[in-house]
Amino acid sequence: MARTTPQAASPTPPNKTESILSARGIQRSFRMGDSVVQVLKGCSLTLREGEFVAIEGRSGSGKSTLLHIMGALDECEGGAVEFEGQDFTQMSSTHRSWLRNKKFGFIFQFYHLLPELNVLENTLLAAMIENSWLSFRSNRKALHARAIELLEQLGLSHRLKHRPSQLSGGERQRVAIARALMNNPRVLFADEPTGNLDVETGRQIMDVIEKLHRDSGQTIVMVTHDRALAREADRVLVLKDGKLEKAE
Amino acid sequence: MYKLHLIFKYLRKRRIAWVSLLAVTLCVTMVLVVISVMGGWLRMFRTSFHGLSGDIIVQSGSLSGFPYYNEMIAEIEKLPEVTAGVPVIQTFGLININNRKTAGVQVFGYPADKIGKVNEFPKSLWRQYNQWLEWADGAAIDPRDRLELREQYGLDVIRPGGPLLQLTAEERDHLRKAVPEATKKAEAARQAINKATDPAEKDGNVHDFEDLIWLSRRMQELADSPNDGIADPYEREMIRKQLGNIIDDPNERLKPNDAERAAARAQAEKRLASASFKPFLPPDEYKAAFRASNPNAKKDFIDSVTKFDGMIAGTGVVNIHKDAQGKFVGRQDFLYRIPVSLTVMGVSTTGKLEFGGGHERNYWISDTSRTKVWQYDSNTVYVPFDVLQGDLGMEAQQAEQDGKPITLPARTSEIHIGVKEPWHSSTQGLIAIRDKIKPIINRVLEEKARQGQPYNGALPTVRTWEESQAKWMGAIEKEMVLVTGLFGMISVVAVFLIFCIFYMIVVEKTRDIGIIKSVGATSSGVAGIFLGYGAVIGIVGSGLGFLVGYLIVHNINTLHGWLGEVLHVQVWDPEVYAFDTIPNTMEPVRVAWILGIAVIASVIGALVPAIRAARLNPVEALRWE
Ligand SMILES: Nc1ncnc2c1ncn2[C@@H]1O[C@H](COP(=O)(O)OP(=O)(O)OP(=O)(O)O)[C@@H](O)[C@H]1O
Ligand SMILES: [Mg+2]
Repeated sequence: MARTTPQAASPTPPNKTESILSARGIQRSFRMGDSVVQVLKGCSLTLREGEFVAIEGRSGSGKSTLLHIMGALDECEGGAVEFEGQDFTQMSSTHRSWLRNKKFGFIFQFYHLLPELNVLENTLLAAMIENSWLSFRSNRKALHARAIELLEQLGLSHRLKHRPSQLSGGERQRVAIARALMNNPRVLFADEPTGNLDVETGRQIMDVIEKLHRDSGQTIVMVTHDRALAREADRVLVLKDGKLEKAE
Repeated sequence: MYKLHLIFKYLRKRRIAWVSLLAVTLCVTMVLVVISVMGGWLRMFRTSFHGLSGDIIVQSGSLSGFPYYNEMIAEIEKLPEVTAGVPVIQTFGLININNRKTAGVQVFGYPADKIGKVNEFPKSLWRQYNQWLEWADGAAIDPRDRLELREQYGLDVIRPGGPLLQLTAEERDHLRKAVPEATKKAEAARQAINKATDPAEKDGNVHDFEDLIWLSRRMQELADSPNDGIADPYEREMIRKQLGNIIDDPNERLKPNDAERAAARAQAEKRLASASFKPFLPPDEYKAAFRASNPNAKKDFIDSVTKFDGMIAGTGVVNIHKDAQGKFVGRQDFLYRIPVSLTVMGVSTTGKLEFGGGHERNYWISDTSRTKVWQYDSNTVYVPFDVLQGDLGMEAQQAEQDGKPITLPARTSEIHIGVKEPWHSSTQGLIAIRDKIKPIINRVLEEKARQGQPYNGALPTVRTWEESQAKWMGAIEKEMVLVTGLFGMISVVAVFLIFCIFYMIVVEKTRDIGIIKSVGATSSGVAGIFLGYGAVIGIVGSGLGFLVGYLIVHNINTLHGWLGEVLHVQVWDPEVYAFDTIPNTMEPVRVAWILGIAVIASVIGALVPAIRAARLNPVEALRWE
């Protein structure tokens, strides 16, 4: 399959400024026993600085897969993803790890916190990975301050030493958000952040995300199958039959 | 940073990892103990055997020995590398110790004045050497020894025992006051005799009564006689045993002072100089004691008895041994004061038994030898070379051949040769000297044949001490390799265990690995967590293993004694292992190797799981349930 399949219909409006992340003709298939399921059949998307994009679609349509590819967690089979003008496929895996650490933040439906670490340590994870033991030691104060500030903003300052298992779902998701924001990511990827929460708690989490976008101009790509939630975004795209379309 | 942090967290939270830690600890302990004991054993073997035989040994092929040894020694001693050559006869005999014990023994004939030049035998002696060292270290010198040291060795600095043991006025006072108590105790013992039903118990009570009655009278005597108020060590001990510490401990009183210790030290060193080394000379005091204890014997008999030669007995022959606490017991007082008889059988040059089956001779036991090699100590006695040579019919003899008188040459069974440094401690060096000695032996025999005195018996062999003990030492070396190999293989199980446990942890932690990767950890970083984890387990495990191994090895004899006492098992049988103590030293280089290998093995055990973790695709890892 050629990576450079030209895309006929791009759903992206061409006139906004400063694209930071752009995906062109992304293709991805999965092998299921003997048959091959083509999940993404050429998706294109350009993300601009400070934009909040929601991707909507039915369960199993490939939303998570697309998000993982755009976040350099997974690789595509056709097409290309560029971040700040650099093609993922041209990067070493260490470089992609560095991107995930410094430039991207992820929030997952199932929170994905490390059970052995407490709230503060989970929040600090990206910083721990970024720094050597020595430099972490020497920056300890600043890093702790940053993590505690984030947790405070998310209303978790009284939970610093608690383990994830001692927290409610909403609290866990807020810790996950703090962790994703720790290194000031340029792009925040959220994969159904409210999918596992009740309506009320989901609402609170959405408020947090929305506020992030409104107050600090955080660039966000959010996946959801809840149309109501998708409305909060600047732009809503629908993944259908392996292609992205603009929502009507 | 996160690696260290996670390693630490996982170590604390995953109890299963402790199992691998334990496995590493146990394996390291096991291998360390085995290597140290076996290695130490081999080292002890080498030192002891080397110390007991000459560096190079010329050995007869048969019990009848070989002749012309004096000519051979004269030639050999011309070699600049050689310190001395000493003829030694080795044979077997039957010993009878005052009808208390009859046993078959190995008999060595040593020339007393020369043997110290080729081996360390003199250092194994008690009366001639080690006892002096003990005195030099501060052991009490009892009155009889003090007398001997003053009179036989002319050591005036040794104070006589009597004045040292003399009662003080205070002690006399205590004794006087204690007499009624002793009498009362005696009375109680007398009544106990009547009450006792068991005959053995009755006997004991009778014994007690007699002791106490005697003691009460003796105490009164001692208290009343200011001039003769000496309590001999035995009396002092008995009084202390029955009535408490009302008088001083005799051993405290008899401890040597600094001058005495220095004199003992000087004498110990002097012992080893061949001129004053007379191990086969029984002290006059012993002969006098024998005379005194047989007042009715005929003068002829007494004279003949006092002319007996001295014999040195291996400690095991006279039942001196270590008890469960590791103290020597059985060195009884009478030991050096009784005659023993030794029967040996001579073998003629034609290989026939001479003297119709045996030659009996009486000796004094003049000393005991503890070489620490059980094979020797358990059943060897040492007698003067020429005495044994005569008894075996190996001395020069007049005979007739075809009607003409001829002289049959004297024979020996071995020549032990001492060699100077650096050849002394080098295997290669000794082999080189050995190859110089071989032709000398042949040359002497050829020369004699040319003079019309051919020797037609078996040719003596020339071997280094290592070669003559090769059978033993080769077996030990192989055993060590084998056991180490076996335990090494068991340790592979530990590596496998680490592998399994780590694999389990990786599988269990798959999702966490996905999370860490999604936050930016690289594959090598993830691998580093598990390799570091393995290394920590290896380091901590081998550290603990070293600690436990060190404690075990250093206390192994105590532990072994304890095992014997509590469980009645004796793993280390001196009869099998040749030494009566288990080696308890560690070689630093070996230890370092073992610990290093343990750490590397732990990392290797963690390697495959680590690679698997590194290879995990983050998305799939995140989907893992
Ligand atoms: N590793 C994989 N192996 C096989 N099939 C996969 C794999 N990952 C995803 N799929 C398949 O790809 C399709 C899209 O999956 P994806 O998780 O992207 O859907 P989604 O839109 O996020 O759905 P949901 O809303 O339920 O989260 C599904 O049919 C899924 O079964
Ligand atoms: Mg999904």
